[in-house]
Parts: sequence; structure tokens; C-alpha cells
Amino acid sequence: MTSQDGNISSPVLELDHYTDESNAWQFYGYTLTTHRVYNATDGSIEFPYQAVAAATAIAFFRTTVYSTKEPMAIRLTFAVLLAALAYARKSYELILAVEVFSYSFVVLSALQPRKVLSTWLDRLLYGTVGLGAAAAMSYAFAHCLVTGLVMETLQLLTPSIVLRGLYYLIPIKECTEAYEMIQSLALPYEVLPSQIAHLFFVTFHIQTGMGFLGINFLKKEQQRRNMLVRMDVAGAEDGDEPSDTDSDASNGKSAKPSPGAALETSAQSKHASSKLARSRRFQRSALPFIFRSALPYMLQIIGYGNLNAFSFHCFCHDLHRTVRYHQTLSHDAHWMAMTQTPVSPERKQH
Amino acid sequence: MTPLFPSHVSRHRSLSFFTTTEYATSIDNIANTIYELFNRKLFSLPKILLLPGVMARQPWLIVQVFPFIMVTDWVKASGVAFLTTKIEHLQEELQHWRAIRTKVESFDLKNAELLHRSGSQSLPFTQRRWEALTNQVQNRLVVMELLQRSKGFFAFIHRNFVFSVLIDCALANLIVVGKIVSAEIFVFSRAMEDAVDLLLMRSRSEAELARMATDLERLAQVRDLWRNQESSSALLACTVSPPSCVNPEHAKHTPHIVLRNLHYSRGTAQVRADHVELPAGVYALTGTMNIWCLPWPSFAREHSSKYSFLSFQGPTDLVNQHFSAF
Repeated sequence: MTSQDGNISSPVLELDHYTDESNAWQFYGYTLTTHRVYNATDGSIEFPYQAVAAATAIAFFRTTVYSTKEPMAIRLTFAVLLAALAYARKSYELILAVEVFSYSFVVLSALQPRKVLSTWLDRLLYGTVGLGAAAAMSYAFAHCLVTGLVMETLQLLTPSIVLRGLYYLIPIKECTEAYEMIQSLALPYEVLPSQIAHLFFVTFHIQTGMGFLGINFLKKEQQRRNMLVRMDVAGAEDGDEPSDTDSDASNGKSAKPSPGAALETSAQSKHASSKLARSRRFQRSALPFIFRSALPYMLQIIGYGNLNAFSFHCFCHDLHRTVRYHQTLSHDAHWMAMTQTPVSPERKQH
Repeated sequence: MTPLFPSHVSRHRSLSFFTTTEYATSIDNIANTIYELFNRKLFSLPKILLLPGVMARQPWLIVQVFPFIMVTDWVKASGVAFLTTKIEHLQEELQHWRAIRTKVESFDLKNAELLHRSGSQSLPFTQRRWEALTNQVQNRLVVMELLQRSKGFFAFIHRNFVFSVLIDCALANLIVVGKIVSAEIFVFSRAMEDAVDLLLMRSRSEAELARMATDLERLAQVRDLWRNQESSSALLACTVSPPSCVNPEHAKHTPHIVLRNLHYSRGTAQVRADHVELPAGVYALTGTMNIWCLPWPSFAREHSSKYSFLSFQGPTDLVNQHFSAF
């Protein structure tokens, strides 16, 4: 407490903000701690599986969000390349540039004017120039986006009334306040931007990818519902009794005999058998729907959703620990401020 | 009759009633609120992107249906906001009273022996006090739960029987003009819901934003408390006077410490001293106590400590210094 020159300096406690992996709790042999892990090789401190999560997220996105004209081989190649870049902890600028380029490559291939480019030399020239331009533009776009230039330009170009409307509709101000608060509490505060960038990277790619998956699944589900509804509607259009009458009959109400009842009975039995066949077809399609659509969708939602949630929990738990003990114990003054308990309320009178 | 709680207890939401758990929970809530706001929007982004292509060819649809959707949602949002404000206010009060109750109970239990020796009326008094605190908590709890239930039903009915009906009207128009097929009904229904959800992000997140504002306020308080404490707890500077500066009268006593206007209390014992001189050395203060150094009454400062050490290495004068070293 006392320095050499006689002045008492305020003590600041030194705290480790990471944990040793060997001390972490394991789940079936996998460490599932949300503490930052110290990497002895490069001296970095990051969350466990951070690189794996980033690689998985971007590979999932690239294989899910694609153009129908894009060949599977190209899609997989780009997915593997992007995953490798993310796993190797390359900068987000580079990863984003490659990602944008992978989509512009598809657009460029689709727009290729085959009639004009008759010879292989023309096509080679078009490909070289086009790909070069696409690569340069992709990198420029990624650079502007990562450095915030895109946002600044958009803010400048957007009319102020539209900006005010956006601020009114979207809680931007509240989010800014929350970010500033988190920034003022984060320890060490230099880590926070990279943590948020990683979380946004994983969340954006997984959630948007799952959104695309959801569209296809919802369409398939709606088709099945429509099949179910049409079973009754098609029957009525073919001359079947409406479903209300069917339900009345099933409830025990007797139908009055009418002229030509025998003819009607024959037609009814024909339509009933047709209805039964449609019903069986519908029932038979249940298992393929479950195994080909529902289960894969469910597994992807659970798996990728959990990966996204794990990334968020790493971030959230880190903040929790910061407030609970890093900040509280990082300085004697913080500690003293929190140790005024328990105190009787009557004491406060003093 | 003496009130069970001093008036300032209910009036002043003292920061010290909150614990580290509550601060940590606050930052959890903030991170969760922000994340969930955008997490869901990112999921619905692909569906929302389907709309511009369809809507661009049906601009009248936006004029015909969307104003009704917006108006009904505004009515709902106003109702929900009113209830949310009430619930939030009650929740804040509830947390306050729960924190007081926890601290009072732990204080009483910790000082059970003192209470036991304080006379026959001490236990009934404690019982009345605990009962009053529990009443404060439970009265607010029941009102809050009823309001939450009402809010839940109101929001459910609006979403399923008002909002969905209006969305179906828009879908009917799109089906008639052949912009969507029957297999896409569900997708476009969700897309429209998500688009409205994006436009009404603030009004729909009223409750979460109100809670987040409370949490931000609480964290701002603790951050300010820490900063104030940091600035005010600069430890007392101990200067070693050179032998030539030492008053010969005090030479036989040096090194020594001078404390003036000291007020010290421990339990029921209270000591006041205008001028205290102590031989320099290492002093240990144990147990809960209050020490005030009073340069003048308005600047009285209270300090509690369970266990603190002071080390002085020479003649020291603490005149008019507050005792934040403890």
C-alpha cells in the first residue's frame, strides 16, 4: 500500500480474464466452458471453439443461400474456402471479400453473353477481366463495410427525415446507450469489439441461413396442409356431400330417402373410394415428409441454433463475470463500495 | 408510534440495497434484450426480402391494408405500453422491497444474539418488521401478476384474431392477382408479419426496452459509485517528516499519528474525540464498525469495515482528512 516515496498508491488487483482448459468442465469429453481460453502458441485470448463456430457458420450460409443456377461443386468449393479462412482466423475484411466474390462469380457466369463470346479466347478474356473486376469490387466493398465507410455514406445520403423515422421506428438510441454501457464495463475493453464482431459474424450467417431454410420448409408444410383441405373441397366439387352432412350422418341423424337414391348411392360410393385413395396417398406421404423435410430441418435448426446460442452465451457470460467479479475485485474502491452489506436500514438514518 | 421503516427507506432507492447478483443480472438482461431484438430480425430477413418483388406490383395493397394493420397495432401497443409501464414500476418496487427484506433478515439473523439480549419486545418487533416487509412484497406481487396475465391475453387475442385477419385480407388480394400460389400462403403470411414486426420494432419491444432502461440506470449507478469511490478513496498520504522538522516537544513521542474530530462507534458503544495522537505503527481494526472523521459536520463521512490495516512509517498528521483509508 505504501510506495517508496511515502505516498500510498491505490491498489489494483490483477485478475486473469481467461481460464486454463484443463480446469474446465467437460461434456462427453468436450470442453464447454464459456470462459476465454489462453492460446499459448500465439498468445491470443479467445472463447473456446471460436474459430470452429465461425467456420461452421459461414460454410452453412454458403451452402444454404445459393442461386439455383449455381453448380453444387462451385458452392461446396467456396464453402470450404470460406470455412478455411474463418478457421485460420483471417480478417473479416478478407473473408467478406471472398464471400461477396463467390456470389459475384455466380452472377458473372449467369450473365455471360454466349452469343457474343464465340471463341474460347473471347471467353477467356471475359472471364479474366470479369473475375478481376469482381475481385477488386468485392474487396473494395468489404473494406468499406468493415471500416464503416458504407454506413457513413448511407447516413450522409439518407434524407434527415428518413433518418429520424428510422430512429423513431428502430431503437437505435437505446442500443447505442447499451453498447456504451457495456463498453464502459468491459474488461479489458479492447477485447469487446472483436467479441461483438465474432458474435455478429456467427449470428448473421446462421440466422439468415436458417431463414432461407425456413422458407423452403414452410412451403412444403403449406403444400401438405393444402392437400388436406383439397381432400374435402375436391370431394364437394365432384358431387360429394359436403362435410357438414357427413358429420351429421356420423352423428346418427337419418337421411331422407329420395328418388334415384340407388344411383346417388353408387356415385357416392365411387367418390368415397376416390376420397379414400386420396386420403391414403396423403397418409403415405407423411413419412417421407417427416424424414426428408421435418427431421433435417429440425436437426439443422437445433444444431446451428445451438452453435449460435453458444457463441452468444460465451459473450454474455463474459460480461456477467466482468460485472460480478472482474470489475468488483479489480480495484479496492469497487470492492469497498460493494461491501457495505448487510446494513440495517435504520443505520441509513445517520 | 415509531414507524417500522424510516421514511427515507421507501423514498430513496438506495443503491446499496442491490447485490452483485442483481448488477450481473442487469447486464445479462441488457445483452439478452439487444441480442434477441436483432437475432429474430436476422432470421426473418430472407422472408422480408420476398415482399418488395410482390408489393412493387401491388402498391395499392400497401395503401389498402397496411394502414389498418398499423392502426390496430398502435392501439395494441398503447395498451401494452400502459400495462408494461405499470408492471415495470411494480417490478422495480418489488425488487427494492425484496432486497430490503433480504438484507433486514440477514442483518437480524446475524445479530440474533444481540436481539435475544435486547429484551422481551425485540422478537415481536422483529416479527412485525418481517411481516410488514413480506406484505409490501406480496401486495405488489399479486397486482403485478394480474397485470401480466391481462397483458398476455390482450396481446394473444390481438395477434391471433385481429392482426392475422388483416394479414389474410392482404394475402387474398395477392392470390386473386396471381402473385402468390396457395403453397406460399404461410410463407407470405409470415413475411408480412415479420415486415410489420420490423416496422413496429420499437412499439412491440416496449416492455423489453423499458426493462433495459431500468437495468441501464442501475448499472450507471454502480459505475458512478465505483468511479466516485475510486476518486474519494485515494488513500491518505503518509509523509515522513525529516528529523529536523520534528517538534522537539514531541520528539520523545515521535513518530506519531494525529487524528482530529474522530467519531468511532461499534455496536452500542460510541466514542468521540477531538484530538487523538497514536504512536506510529501497524493497526488492525476488526469487526463491523463505523468511523467518522469530522472536519465539520456537513462533511461527515461514514466508513464501515470488517477488517482493515493501516501502516504508518513516520510522524503523520491527518488533520481534516477523511478516513477513507479504512
